[in-house]
Amino acid sequence: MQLKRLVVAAVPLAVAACEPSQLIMGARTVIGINAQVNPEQTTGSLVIGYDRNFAAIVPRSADPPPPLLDDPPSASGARDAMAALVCSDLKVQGITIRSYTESMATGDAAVRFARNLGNDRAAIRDFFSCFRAVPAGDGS
Amino acid sequence: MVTHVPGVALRSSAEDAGLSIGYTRTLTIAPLGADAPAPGRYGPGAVLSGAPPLAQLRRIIGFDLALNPGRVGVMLGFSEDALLARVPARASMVRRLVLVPGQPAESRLTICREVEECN
Repeated sequence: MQLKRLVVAAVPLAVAACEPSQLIMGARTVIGINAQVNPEQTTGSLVIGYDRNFAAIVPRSADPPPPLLDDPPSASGARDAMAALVCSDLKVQGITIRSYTESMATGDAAVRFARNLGNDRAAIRDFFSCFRAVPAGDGS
Repeated sequence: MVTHVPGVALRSSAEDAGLSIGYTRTLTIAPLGADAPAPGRYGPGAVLSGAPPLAQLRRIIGFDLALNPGRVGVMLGFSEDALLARVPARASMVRRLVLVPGQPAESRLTICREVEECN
């Protein structure tokens, strides 16, 4: 069994152009032959054998939102596309996923959570496993 | 819900269109709705309608043709595709997902407004 502990820290992502408007996380494993193209990005790939990917697509733009909590707009006019805090724990057995556990906070909830990091660590550790001490022997 | 499809499995949703031939096993976590199948195990002929899945894991042994906006391709062999999170950029939520493909009954997704509600 292979244990992967992934912490994706979450910080507001600066806005750029028109891009994905959702946070998407996924994994793909292929054994055999896989040929694919991405019509949107005009890219492609051909795999013969084994391939495994774990990816996150993060928003780079969003509709004009109300400001997150009481944050003032930045001087440059930039605004956050998304705030997110994600802790995920992926366990793989052989070539397949044995289990996946994820704790996630997004938007205002993530901002409030981050601001209270120093105030209530017990609650944070209870919910976000990656804030707990990692036992010896586990990968991180 | 879990579907087992030996033979031909057709996926007709816009974001996940395709066709597989062989054996397809799909574990789907979707919001409960009037037109969504109840949690459980389904065989060939199951229709998964309703809202897009919030999380999904699909294993295919055989041939697969994908015709999605972001991916057009073919696969021959074994594949495991997992959609682990799909969250709108403006959403404010706290969620916990437990996905156990081998034991679907243990899989669950909890969505709350604040961390305290999910603990």
